[in-house]
Amino acid sequence: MKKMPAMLGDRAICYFFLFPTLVLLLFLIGYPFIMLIFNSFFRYSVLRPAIPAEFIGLDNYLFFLTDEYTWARFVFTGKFVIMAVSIQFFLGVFISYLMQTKFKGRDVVFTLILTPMMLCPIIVGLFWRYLFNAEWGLVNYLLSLVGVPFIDWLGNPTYSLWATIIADTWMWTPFTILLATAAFSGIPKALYEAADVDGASASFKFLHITLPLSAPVLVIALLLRLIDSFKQFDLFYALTGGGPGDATQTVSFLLYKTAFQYFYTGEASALGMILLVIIIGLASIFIRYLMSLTERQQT
Amino acid sequence: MAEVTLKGLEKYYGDVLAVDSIDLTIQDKEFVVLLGPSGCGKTTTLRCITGLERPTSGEILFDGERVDHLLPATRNVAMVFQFFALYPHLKAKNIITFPLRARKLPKDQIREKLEWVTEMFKLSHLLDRYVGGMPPGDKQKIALARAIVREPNVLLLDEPLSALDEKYREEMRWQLGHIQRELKVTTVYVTHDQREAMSLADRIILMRDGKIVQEAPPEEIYQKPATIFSGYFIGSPGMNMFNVALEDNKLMVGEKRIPLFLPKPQQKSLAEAGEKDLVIGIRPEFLSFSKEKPGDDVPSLPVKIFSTEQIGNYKIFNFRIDETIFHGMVDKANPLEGEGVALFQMDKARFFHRESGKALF
Repeated sequence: MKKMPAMLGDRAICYFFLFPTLVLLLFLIGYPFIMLIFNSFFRYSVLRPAIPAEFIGLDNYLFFLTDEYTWARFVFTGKFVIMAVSIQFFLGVFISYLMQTKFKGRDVVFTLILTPMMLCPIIVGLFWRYLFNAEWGLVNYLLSLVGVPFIDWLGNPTYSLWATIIADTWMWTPFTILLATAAFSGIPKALYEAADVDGASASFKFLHITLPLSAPVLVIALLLRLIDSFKQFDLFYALTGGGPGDATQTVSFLLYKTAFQYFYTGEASALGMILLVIIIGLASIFIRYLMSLTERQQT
Repeated sequence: MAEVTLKGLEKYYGDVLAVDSIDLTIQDKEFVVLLGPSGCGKTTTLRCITGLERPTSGEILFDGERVDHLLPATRNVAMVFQFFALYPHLKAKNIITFPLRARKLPKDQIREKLEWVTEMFKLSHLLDRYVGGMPPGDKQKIALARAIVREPNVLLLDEPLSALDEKYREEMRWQLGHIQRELKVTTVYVTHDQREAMSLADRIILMRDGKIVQEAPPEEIYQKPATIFSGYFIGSPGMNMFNVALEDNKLMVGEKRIPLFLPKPQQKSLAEAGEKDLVIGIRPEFLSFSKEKPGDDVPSLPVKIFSTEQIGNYKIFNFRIDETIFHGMVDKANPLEGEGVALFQMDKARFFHRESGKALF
């Protein structure tokens, strides 16, 4: 048999196969990313290509970081993220814990529970918009049956925050349920049997076995939900349109408006960078925690 | 400490009968080994005693009180699992104290008991480590410490040594026996390894197809197997079994009907039993080999050795009669090869009924 030329070692073949994907990645992620950083230092609008881009240093960043209006958007986004994600997370873990016990028709119930997650966010937004309609929406009708007075869900800043949280929770709790179920069922049955013999109560088992052993997966679920809800846009777009006024405008909504309604490309790039830094920061905290979790279980 | 009684214990998994109405009493402080091939129902029986399985019917009693409706936690039993079932996210000390913390014992008591088992198993260097990277032997010690720490009424062990390598297994076997005698805890031990059973048990419960085949102390079960299965399963190599037919006070061996001399005492016993179709069982150590044919009044058969093995001080020699392979075991260095005669110590042989497999005497 003829020997392979030394040039084509395993490593070379590896790069050879990676090459097309790397080129694609470079053009689809690398180039836009570099342009994003580049543009963020300029006063520039894609709508006015004739006006040359003017270098203004960090002015775009300074603008957003000192702007009270932007700050209010961050505060709203933070509120939304913390409330929505914590509700979804606890609800999801709780439901998947209940789903661990066998009952008739569990598979059907499980599949039904997962469906909201598979829908398109815009559709979900529109769908809840009708449900929350103050005049003839189903939600107010049902509440009126139990004697709750009329609520202007989408016209009042506080209620519209809750409306978005409810819609987001309805759509994304299944995601936590899915991951938590996977995590729970990955725990060896023998550990529970050992704990049974050791005299552990159901709550003791949950706190000392189920939770710590599923923690790595739960942390990933939490992280994904945090990132996802932080950049949540389409649900708001369809459900509240950012209203009433600007009350439910998230940072990503603001970004969308800056970039594609006002076409302040330079400013939008800076805001995009700020968002990116925040999300990477969040992610790295979680990833560090995750690493420490998996490390200690292996040593 | 407790006496454990099983009355008509039965367990079905769907249509499969795993345990077939077992009656058994385990004395207080006794070390009992459930021995048998895989699928014989020994582990299921153990899990029923633990409370991890609910018996389909029958009763389980601890000191005369029914416990089969109780959860494992309230039976005060401890179990060592085949693959340890140690909590991977906890340090060794927290694994060991888990049952105490689950029962909400005061902190100083927990510390005392931890010190006690740490001393007993020489664990101090492992306490602050996670079990993930530990060798099986250390895991085993921690699993045992977790079981012992709460001073259970009954200690249940499910093939606890099967994950250890040979060398370490012997050491742990010795240590286990030592600890059990020291703590005087009623112990039920499940294994398929007859050597473990022989060396540890006060009493061996030999099981097959969900039933108890024989229950006896190791010596007795070795020397007086109650069935062909007992003789075959216990001992290494197991008992040699061969078909014989009784004709005019003479034994005819195998298809070729080779005569084998039967000494007077056995002749008498056989006449009393009144059976013609028999199986004889004889342990390898009661077979020997000679190049010269002895007198007619010595039980012997002409054979040809086809292989030998040296095991420590002993030599095993193998020969065939019809399709049955016989193993003999001798410690003398006399020549072991080629053709000659196999000598049978018939007074040490066991006679079984061929149909039922039950021992006659």
